[in-house]
Parts: sequence; structure tokens; C-alpha cells
Amino acid sequence: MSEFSLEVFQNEFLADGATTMDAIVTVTASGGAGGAAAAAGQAAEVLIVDTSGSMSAPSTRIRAARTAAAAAIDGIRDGVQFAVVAGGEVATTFFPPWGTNLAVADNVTRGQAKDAVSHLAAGGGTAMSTWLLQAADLFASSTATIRHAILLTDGENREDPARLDDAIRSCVGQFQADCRGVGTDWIVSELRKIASALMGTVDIIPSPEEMEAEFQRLMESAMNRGVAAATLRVWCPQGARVNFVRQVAPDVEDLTGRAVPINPLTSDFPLGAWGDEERDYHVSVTVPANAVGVEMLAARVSLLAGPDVVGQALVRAVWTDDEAASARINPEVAHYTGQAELAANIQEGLEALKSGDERTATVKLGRATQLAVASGNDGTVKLLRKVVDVEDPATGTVRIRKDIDKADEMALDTRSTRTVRVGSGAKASQ
Amino acid sequence: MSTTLTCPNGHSSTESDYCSVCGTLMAVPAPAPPSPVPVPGDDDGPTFIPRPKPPVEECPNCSSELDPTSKFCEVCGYDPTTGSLPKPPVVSPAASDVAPDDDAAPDAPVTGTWVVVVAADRAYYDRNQVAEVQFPLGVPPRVIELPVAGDPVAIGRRSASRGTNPAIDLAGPPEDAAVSHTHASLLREGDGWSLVDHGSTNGTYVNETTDPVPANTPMPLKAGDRIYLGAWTKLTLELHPDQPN
Repeated sequence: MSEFSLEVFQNEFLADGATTMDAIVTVTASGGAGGAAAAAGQAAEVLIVDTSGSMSAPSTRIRAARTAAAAAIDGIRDGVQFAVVAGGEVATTFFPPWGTNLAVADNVTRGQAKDAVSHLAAGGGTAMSTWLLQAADLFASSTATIRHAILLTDGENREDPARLDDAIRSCVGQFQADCRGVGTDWIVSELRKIASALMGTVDIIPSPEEMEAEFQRLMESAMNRGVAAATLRVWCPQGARVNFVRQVAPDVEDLTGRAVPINPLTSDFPLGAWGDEERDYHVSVTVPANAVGVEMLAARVSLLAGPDVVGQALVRAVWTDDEAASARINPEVAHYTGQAELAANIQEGLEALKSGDERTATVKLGRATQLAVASGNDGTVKLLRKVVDVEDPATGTVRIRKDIDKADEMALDTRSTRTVRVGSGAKASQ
Repeated sequence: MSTTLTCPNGHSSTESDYCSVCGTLMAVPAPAPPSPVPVPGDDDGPTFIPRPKPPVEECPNCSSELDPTSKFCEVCGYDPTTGSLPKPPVVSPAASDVAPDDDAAPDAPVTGTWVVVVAADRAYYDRNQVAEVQFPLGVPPRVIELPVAGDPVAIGRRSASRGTNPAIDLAGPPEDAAVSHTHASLLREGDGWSLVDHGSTNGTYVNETTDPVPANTPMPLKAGDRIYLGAWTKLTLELHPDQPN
């Protein structure tokens, strides 16, 4: 069973009259055994592979998809229930052949599945709503509680966007999905919408050869999740309000809109399945003003594994007339506020670039470069440098490059939400 | 064990560290000598020592119990010493220019055409200090007529890649880049309109409020209400009565 620990980073001091309290809550889980969940039949995995016509041009793509699917199947542990869905204009369950139930992984079924996917053929259109609904149907036939899908596509969804939105809505809470796009003909915002709603990640696989390794990696992390459903529970005192709850590491994801009210003072934020990992959350609340000297609890943040509270952190507020104390910004809060701003600037900068507004794009990507350099987010700096020429990272003076590779632009977009922890920067905390 | 604890403000709390209702610290040592001397020696009991309760005063505004140690009513924020409610809006645009401030719309059936006037508000822009967005000069207000019924009227910025094409589009020119692509919507409700913010990045403000409207919660509007969003955008909801002719 996983052990969870929570830690709070905040400056608890508020100036007289101040009402906004920000805190970073770090949640660490250790000792979780994904293997136990698999053996107990608690885990289910559905591979969704795009088999639309575009996957055959270049033909390396469908061949790479077959190899990658086989690699992913190899990574499925014994006892895990699984299926492979082929996605076109409609989705078909490619394996198991009887179509409506999941197979239980062992040497025999893995072999059969690999044999099946070696015959995956491309042809037809792309209607992702049907893919998701097919996966949801398969999961619904299972009693597994840890439900994960990997979706691979190479193209744009070719159906009424409303149908995809409806499908996403009906899949929320049913399973989690990591989405990968191969090549550069798919739409980042489309896959991000799916991944974000289904509590997964989105990324680009620039060339077919990289598919296999990526699928192995994805499967490994999926198989290591031992806790089916973790929940962040946030309590605020009467008269207070949650401004936002945001995951800030390993990547930025706003959870505010996912709040499920438990009672007038408490909301739950579903976090999905957990393995041995660490995630950070930024909680911002507005509390009623109090007199100098008063201490109150601004938020009680609990972590639930299933229905059980397994950890708790207290976000306090203490009003003071010591301006030096109240003016200090907690380094973790400052850092993650910057990382969220970084992600927003990249996405808005790329958006501006697409619509031909180079001026806005330059400002936004310049600001992003400045933030990424200052916070030591080297991965993002590297991606930014493929899109802009950096003249002065300190002031964020950049020029948009004339020769931007589409894959680089998409990689920057999909990875814009990746964050680094405090202290990663060479210059941090001086 | 379900010991009920009482916090210094008189709430019954399920938590022993901070009150589960108002968040007040529970384990404050009583400042004054407690009149009913707590029985010492029982270390396993709740650590909270009940504070002698002064005569209970009620908040004149919301009738909740007032905490004598607090400057304000813990529930509604009323200040008994000045007799005022929490800070009046700072946002009040020096531009009381457009505010037809009479909500005295009688019970007469409301008929007419609802419109939204899109304008750039200098006072609001100056308060926001969004360096990345310039204040658009010399832009005449736009009037957008709202439909009689039907789907929500989207407020945001159009984007081909995100598939947004809101009826009230701040993508410009001039663009207000601080408006989210899917920012908010106006919902037809009965004779009037409500505003709902879709969890926008920078929030939506109605009239003279300093706090953004809560996300995903419809807020009823009336004719003359001002909606502030982005770096400089002001939307004014107006009802143009039907001209009998």
C-alpha cells in the first residue's frame, strides 16, 4: 500500500487587510506496488491505434505503429485486463477478437495480441469520438479500478467537434488516457483537450522510429500505478473562497473546474491514479480579513486514496503588522506562479504565431524565454531556442526564427506545461 | 470518538486544531483567567480550554454571533465599529460615464432588444497594468445585438486552432489578449440574461466588484450592468425598449 506524505510551502503572514493566501502543497507517494494491483485484476489497459488512411503514408507509420503496439503489449503485466482498439471512421476492437470484453494478460494472450496487431492495416477516416466511446465500453465491461488508455494518432479529427466533446464528457472519470501524436499533421489542442479531460499527458512523437520506446515508457508508468483514484480535498473556512487549485509539477494543469462540492466548505479535486511519484499543487484561497495577531486556518488540504484520508496539510494565515514578514513571497509559490505563466506565454505565443501576429508572438515567447531561463527550466529553454533566436535571455529579447520546423513548434506546444522544481535554476534562491 | 468541540467563536468543530467552520485556532490559551476553572490533569481531553464567553452580541447585518476579539463579523465581514460592510469596490470606474444606475425597473413586462456594447475602458486598463497589452486608442464602441432566445452567447477570442468563434469576439482588431479564448457566456434566462465565467485565466468582473465572479456559476445581470474582462474590455448590457411605431 502506498504511503502518502504532504508538505506545505507558504508565507503564512498576511498584512493587515490582506485576504489572499497562496500555498504549494507537495504530495509524495512511496511504497506503492503496481504489481499487486495487476495481479489482483485491478488494472485494465486499452491501446487505441489510429488506423486511418493517413497512417499508410508514409507506410513506415503503420509499420511503426504495429511494432510500438507490440512493444506496449509486451509491457502489460500478467493479470492486467487489456484490449487493442483500431481507430478509423469507426472504432473496432482489434483484440481480443470476440470484441466486447477485455483479455487477461499472460504469455498466451500477449502472443495472440501481438500477432493480431501485426495485421493492423490503415484505411478510412478519423472519428476520435468513436475510439473513446469504444474504449469506455470495454472498460465498462471490466471490474478493474485502475483504467488506462494510450491513444495514438497521426491526424486531425474529421468529425463535428461537438461529437468529440460529447464523447470526452462521457469518458471523464471512466478511464485515464495518455495521448500521443506521430508526425506533424495532428492538432495539439485536440489531443490536449482529450488528455486534459481524461487526466493524461499529451506529447509529440516526431518520427515513427521513436514510437516503440515511447510506448514502452508509457506502459511502464501506467503499470506502476497502485492507487486507483486519488483525490485532493480542500476545505476552506466559512466566508472564504478557493481562487484556484492547480497542479504545478510535474506539469501545469488547472484543476479548478473539476471541483466536486462535498459540502459548502469543502470540494474534492479528482487526481486519477497514482504510482510512486511526487506532484505539487498550488492552492490559492481568499479568506475574510482578520485583525492583526489573529491566526486562522485558510485551507485544510487532504489527500484521499479511494475513500480514505491518507494525508493532510494545513495552510495557515496569520495577520501581522510586520511588513517585512508579510511582504515576503514564498520561493515555491513564486517559482510555480512563474512556471504557470511560462506555460501560458508559450501557448499564447504559438497561438499568435499561427494567426500571423508576430508582434504578440515575439512578446509572449520572449517573456517565456525570460521565465524559463530564470527558473532553470532547461528543457523548455532548449525547445524555445528552436522557435526563437534569443538575443538577451535576461530581458526576454528574442526574434522569431524564420526556419521553424513544424515538429519543433508542436513539441514546444505540447511540452509547454512541463515544469521544474524550485532550485533547478543555477541562480535560484540567492 | 466524536467529542464535540467548541471554537472561540462558538461554532461546534469536528477538528481539534482549527475550527472546522471558521478556521479559528482552537488551542488558544485563554487570555483572561477562565472563570469556570477547567479540571486539570486530564491531559487526554481536548486541548482547547473554553474561553469565558462574554455576553453574545449579534451582528447587526447578518445576525451571526460576533466574536468580541475580532474587528469584523466573521461571517459577513460587517465592521461594527464603523458600521460598514467589507471594503467597497475599488473597481468603480471613474467612468461612471455609462452607468445607468437605476435598477428600479418596475414589474412591467420587459420588452425590447438586448444589446452588448463593447468598449475599451481606460480606467479599468490602468488598474490592470498589463504591460503586454496596449490600450487601443480611438476605437469606437461596438454594439452587438443579442438573440431573442437560443444558445448561450459566447464571449472570448476566436481561434481557428482551438475552434473558438465567439459571438462577442475580442480577437479584434484591436485584440484584448488578456481575454481567454473561451472566457464566458451570456445565458438567456427568462426575460433577462446571466453571465457565466468558464474558468477564464484572468477572470470576469461585474460592476464595481474587486473579486472576479466565481467560475461556472451563472450570475444574473440587469440592464446597465458592466462586465469587465481582459486588459481593457468593458461590456455593457443594455436593453433598448421597442419603439412603438
